[in-house]
Amino acid sequence: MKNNYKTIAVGAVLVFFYALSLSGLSTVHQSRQSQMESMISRMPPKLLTFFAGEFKGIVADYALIEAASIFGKAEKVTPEEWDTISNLFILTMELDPYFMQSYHLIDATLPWFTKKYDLSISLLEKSKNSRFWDWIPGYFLGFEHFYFLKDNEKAAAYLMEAAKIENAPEVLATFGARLANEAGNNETALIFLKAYYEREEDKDKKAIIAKRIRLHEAVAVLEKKILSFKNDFGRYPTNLMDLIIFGYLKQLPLDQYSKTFSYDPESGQVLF
Amino acid sequence: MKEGFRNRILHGIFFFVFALFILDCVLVNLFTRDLGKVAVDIGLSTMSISGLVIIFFMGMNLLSKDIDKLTIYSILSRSVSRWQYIVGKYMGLSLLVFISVAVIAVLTAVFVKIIIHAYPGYIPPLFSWVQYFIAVCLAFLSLLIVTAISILFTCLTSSPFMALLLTFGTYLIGQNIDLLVKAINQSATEVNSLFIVIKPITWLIPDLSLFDYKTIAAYGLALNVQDIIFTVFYGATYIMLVLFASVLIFNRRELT
Repeated sequence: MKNNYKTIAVGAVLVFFYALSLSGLSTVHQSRQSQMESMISRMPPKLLTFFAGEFKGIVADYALIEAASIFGKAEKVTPEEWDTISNLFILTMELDPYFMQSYHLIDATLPWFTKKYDLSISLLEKSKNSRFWDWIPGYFLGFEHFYFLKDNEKAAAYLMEAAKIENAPEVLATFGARLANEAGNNETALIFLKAYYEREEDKDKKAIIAKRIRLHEAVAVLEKKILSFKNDFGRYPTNLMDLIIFGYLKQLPLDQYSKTFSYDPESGQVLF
Repeated sequence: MKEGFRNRILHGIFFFVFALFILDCVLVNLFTRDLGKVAVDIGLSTMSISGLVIIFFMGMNLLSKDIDKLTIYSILSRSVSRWQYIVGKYMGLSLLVFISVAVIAVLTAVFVKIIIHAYPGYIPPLFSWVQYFIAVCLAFLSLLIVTAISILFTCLTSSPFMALLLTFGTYLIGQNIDLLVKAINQSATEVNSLFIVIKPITWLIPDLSLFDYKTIAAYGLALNVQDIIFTVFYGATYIMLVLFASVLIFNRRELT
């Protein structure tokens, strides 16, 4: 009987200490987790590639899950954690540059939350070069150049390149051409759209592109006349009506979308 | 072969495969794009891991057990020559690896098929079963090479642990030999002595990275038939050479 009491007492003490240890476990778990995160994310990509061996794909998946788990936590992501996420993206792209999930996460986070445009662009470039069948990385690159870097020339180049890929929506072609015009390359936009029109087989898409070609042709006519005006008068016309008043045009071509073209008398640029 | 099946490690491996497939179901749901790719990644990686576990933990013991328990005498006294014994052990072990590879490859294919059916829009558009089949075959060939190397090191050393370490080291370097070759080619003009020393090592150690078609299978990337033919030819000749060397070493080995 006495022995039974002893056993129960020892058991109770052990359970008490075990319960005590459990209460502190969550702190240990958190600290261990941050150590684990830093372990893989601080590993040089080449070294990780070496140890990953034939399991590069699955290690890339793991790195991506880890990045998503940091980004998706309830608390605000700290700058240090963003560095960890960035490193994990670099690792995952080194191990498997083909993965669609990677470039989607990169595009949805790096430029928006960290302003690491160079890193984001270099990783998306890797994805674009690997996934030759996929128009989305090119579209993301075009969007980042247009929206964040305000570089319409490069944005147009990326969008027009992406538009050439099979199954790409025609809006990439029209948007790319529009940005090319805004960057002062209407002629490039026109050549691109005409080639796109020739290649396209879908009747509906062809009709959209044909309408857009007419628009860029109208801009080309206006630009030509504006240049003649500048050569004669040494300045750009004050507004597009000057081209009619001074006899360069009998009537202004119509913008088929907004009816009138916008015009910048400072640069002589015609926009729509 | 029978001995291999009697070994409990095989049961453990099949349990491990089963557990990994449950994990597969969970992991795939953590992603929202290229789900087929994730399933192929996990499946083919499981296949390679289980094959390696069979070779490292079971295959290497089969030979050393025979020697330690002196059962090798009863085998060799039954008009079985030493080369037949080595080749027989290799074939038996290869068959075990084949069974493991075949089971996992079929299970992975079933799982991928389910994903294709359930989430047709989330599969890499170029995915093809041809690439998948070739990736499985080449992964199996890669495991056959590792099996041959494990036989060689078991013949070469008396300690199974040493043989395991040497086989694992060769496997790890073999997976990254293309990195080594690239590094040598880049520094060849500057450090010529390094080139002379390391280049022969790249001939001795098999280039296992050539057999890794997991990414190609996961995304259905284009195959180069000529590359595959050369890779298979390279793998087959390497296995034959290693087995030949194993027989030569085993013939000279004192079994007391």
